[in-house]
Amino acid sequence: MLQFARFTATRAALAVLTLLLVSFIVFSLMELVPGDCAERYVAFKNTQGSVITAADIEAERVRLGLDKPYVERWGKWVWNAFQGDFGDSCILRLNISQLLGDKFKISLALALGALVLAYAIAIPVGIYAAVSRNKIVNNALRLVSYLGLALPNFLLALMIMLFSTVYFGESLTGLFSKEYRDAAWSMAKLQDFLKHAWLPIFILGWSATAFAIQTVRALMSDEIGKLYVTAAEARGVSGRRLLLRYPARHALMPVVNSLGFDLNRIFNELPVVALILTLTEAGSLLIDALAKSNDQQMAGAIIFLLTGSIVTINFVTDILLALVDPRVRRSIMR
Amino acid sequence: MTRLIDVENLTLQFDTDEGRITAVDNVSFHVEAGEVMGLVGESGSGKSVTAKALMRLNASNAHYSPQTRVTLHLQDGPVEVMDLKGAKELKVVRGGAISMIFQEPMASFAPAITIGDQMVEQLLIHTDMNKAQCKELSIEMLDRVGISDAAQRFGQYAFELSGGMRQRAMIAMALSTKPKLLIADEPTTALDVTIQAQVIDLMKDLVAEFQMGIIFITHDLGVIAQTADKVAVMYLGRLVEQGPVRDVIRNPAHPYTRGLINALPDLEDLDKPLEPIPGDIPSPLERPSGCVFNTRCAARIGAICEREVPQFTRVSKGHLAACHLYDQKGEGK
Amino acid sequence: MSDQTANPASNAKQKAKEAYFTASQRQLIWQRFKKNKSALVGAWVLVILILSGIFSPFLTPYDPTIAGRDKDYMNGAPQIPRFCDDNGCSIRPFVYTFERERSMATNFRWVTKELTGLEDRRYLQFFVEGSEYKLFGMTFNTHLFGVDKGQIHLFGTDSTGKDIFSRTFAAINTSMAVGTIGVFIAFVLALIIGGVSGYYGGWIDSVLQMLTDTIRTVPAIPLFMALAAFIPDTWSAEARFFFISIILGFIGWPTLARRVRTHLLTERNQEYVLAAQLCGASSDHIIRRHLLPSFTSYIIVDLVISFPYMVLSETALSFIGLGLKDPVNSLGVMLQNVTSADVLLNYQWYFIPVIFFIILVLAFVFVGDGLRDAADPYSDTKK
Repeated sequence: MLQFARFTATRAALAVLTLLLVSFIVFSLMELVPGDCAERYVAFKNTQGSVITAADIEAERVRLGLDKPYVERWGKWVWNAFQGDFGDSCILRLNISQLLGDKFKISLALALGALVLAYAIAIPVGIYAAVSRNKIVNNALRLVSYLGLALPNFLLALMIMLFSTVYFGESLTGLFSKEYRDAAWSMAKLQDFLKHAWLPIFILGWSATAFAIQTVRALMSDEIGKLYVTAAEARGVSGRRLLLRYPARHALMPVVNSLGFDLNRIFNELPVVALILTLTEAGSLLIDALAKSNDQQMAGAIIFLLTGSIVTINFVTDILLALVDPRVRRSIMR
Repeated sequence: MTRLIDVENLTLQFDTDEGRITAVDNVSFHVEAGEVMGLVGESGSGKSVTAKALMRLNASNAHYSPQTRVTLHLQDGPVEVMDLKGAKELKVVRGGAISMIFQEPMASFAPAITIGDQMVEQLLIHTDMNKAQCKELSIEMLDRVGISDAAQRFGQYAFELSGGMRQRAMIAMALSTKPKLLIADEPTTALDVTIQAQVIDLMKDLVAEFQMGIIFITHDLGVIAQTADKVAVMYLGRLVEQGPVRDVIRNPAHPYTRGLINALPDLEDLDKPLEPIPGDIPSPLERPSGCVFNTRCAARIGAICEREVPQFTRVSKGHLAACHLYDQKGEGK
Repeated sequence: MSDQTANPASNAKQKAKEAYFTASQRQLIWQRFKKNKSALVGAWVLVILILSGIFSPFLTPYDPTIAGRDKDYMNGAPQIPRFCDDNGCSIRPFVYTFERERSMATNFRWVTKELTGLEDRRYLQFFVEGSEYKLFGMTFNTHLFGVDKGQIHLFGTDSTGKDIFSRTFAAINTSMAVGTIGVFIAFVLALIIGGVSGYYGGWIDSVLQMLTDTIRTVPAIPLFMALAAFIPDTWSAEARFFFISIILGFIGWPTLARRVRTHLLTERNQEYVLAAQLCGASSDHIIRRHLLPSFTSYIIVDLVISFPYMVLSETALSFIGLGLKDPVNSLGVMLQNVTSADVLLNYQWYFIPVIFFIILVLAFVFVGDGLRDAADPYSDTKK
């Protein structure tokens, strides 16, 4: 038990270290943008007609703490970031956490939903595909997985938009109907959300599913050929028990490892899909923050949150793998 | 002695991308209770496939000829193995009356399931005992095969045991259902010599105790000489010689067997160069016509070896060889 | 040795066997690749598309940038050449002259009327002279086809009148170029970092691995968006082009570096390396003739497979507006205005380039898979 706790602690420490490294990179990138927050704000005010002097800019700088040394600023930012406080947006002058608010949680919910959907489909289909000798099934699955690779989510979203607009005359956009958009969370809002969320989850899950099917299938194919499966069959184990308990259980263990990477891929696709489907959540906020206004505070916060989720998932899957795979478990216990 | 299993005209072909390959061609033999039969041959001779056929363990692209008959003689009566259908019926030949142990003990245990779980699972499938009884019997078997701390080992995984222990555990698992026939597919090949000796001794003890038959598959003639009562030699899917082990090894009749024995290093004369059998085993897609060995045979008589498949002829008591040297066709040469 | 009858059939077989046993690695891979029909088809498609991309200025009638636009035919539907109509058939395919009008009455949508009189035919001509373009450093102005009067738009036009057909092939070329540079950069980085990591092992490896993993954890597109937004608008189109390619390469290297490193680490300890060392081979020799060939094929496969991702990443970014911009042309740029309801309802031909890209990506995927199966020396036994 003690060793397991030690293992968990080590993994957690590694996760934190990774996040620190990421935050360093992100923070540095933010700093690279020419012109700091004070200047931008002031320039923004300038466009609104007020007259600004150099002294005002300096005053702004001191107020924002921008004159302190780099390391100190980074330290403060990271410390706050871990507590969920990202300071104020450079341009909008509003607290970022308030702005992001629910939006990040919704993005995360969509992404996780897509991940769950992907594996819920991929595991049974992948297992079946590996076992089946049916040529039609095999070819169909090959086709599906190729399409999943070739037709990235945003193209798929575009095509769906095209069809729905042309044939149904309406576009399936948005995450909430008008009444619920700014309302407080309730059962009704949740239902409304689910009604709209199925499309983004489906689109996001599309290529994740294609990948997952290929992975599961390949792993199963490898495992089925192994001697212990024949040995089990030679002992009289048969049917579904033979399939699930022997090759499937072993093939799925590496799958656990890839979950973090899958989430990474989904996050990659989220912004563009969000834009197409006009989902106003973190993904499209990111696009706004970067493409339109160069708001590096916001951008930094979003990237930190996204990476943080992935690091967390990696941590969780590491622990999960240790629980599920006895080889890993035993090696920890030594 | 009671006869355990009769194999008649076993012919097996596989459907592959390159066509239909004959893996086993008209093999017949039988095994008695308490008898160890060695099945000897090079890699690719079809010995494993033959053994697996007795348990119907071959892949689904395997086709048995209609003349194939495998009869298992059980207490309750004979069982036609080729007629068994469905998992329930096949249970009897898979882990029930016939058990198999494999070459790679590490690879034959599922890596993520404990040894104990796998043993209990098998017992639950084949007997009426409850889980606790199965556990008890399994620990007893582990102890019987010489594994110390059997109760502790029961809860361990295969990777936690040493090579020799794994092999013993596999034997324990195979024998826990008290099978009549044990098929051992190269059980000692992956072990070092001292452990080899221990495992062979163990197997012989168990044979005597349980009155089982063993089919011992190997390419190692030395092990056969020690362990087997009778031996059958296979080449490219056909049986070329069979008989009591002493006879076959001392007076090999078939040129292939002779070649195998000659290829062994001579202990008397350590400087003597080794004499391998010339040539290579043909690919199963290019089976020689007539006698399968004729393309490499040093004692080839002539065209008849290419034309006609030799049948078994009696060389001495219980000792048969399939070669034209001994039948009427080749007499006098 | 047994007799071998001097039989031409068996001699031929013998020769074939020898050829097989003495073939070089590349020949073996090519042989196996050829057997895979889908991979072969993919390879042909790829070659055709790449060539049409390179020769796009010749193959397409008009300049894909704003300079080549057709003011008279904005948001125009595709014009399919025909051979016959009510006025009789002709050997040369033709399209019709048209009149366009839009007014309050038509909700400000363009309404096109085709004039089908005999004199209104515009015949297709081949090897016409048109706008100038540069190819391999030389200037040409011959295009494969065109019409005698006005312009022909096989895939229609966009909102400013630019010919979509010309743009599609130019876009293929651009995307391939960006992808190639990106892949090349990723490859070089991966080789260096992964190579050092795998060859030296120890703490260098641990540190580099930590770095690689961290970079891999950050989702690429959001990071890229952050980086791309920093490009000043004052940069020229070409400068943007290179910058985008470089960034793509920078983001793509971690996965490749990991493959290189893992492969090196395992191969380094293989017995054949030890055997070579025992024979007295120098490190250089071992790396060149033993280690490198063992994973060259895997690396090539990885490169081919990562190519579509580069292309698609660039498409996604250009689509958002953070990648390439006019006059440089890529699929993403072409799709920039596609989500408006107007376009979706009325100008569906904007989506035609998408089909080409799907085919391109699929071709890459088939070829990559085929290469992977062909290059794996153990793939036969996996059946």
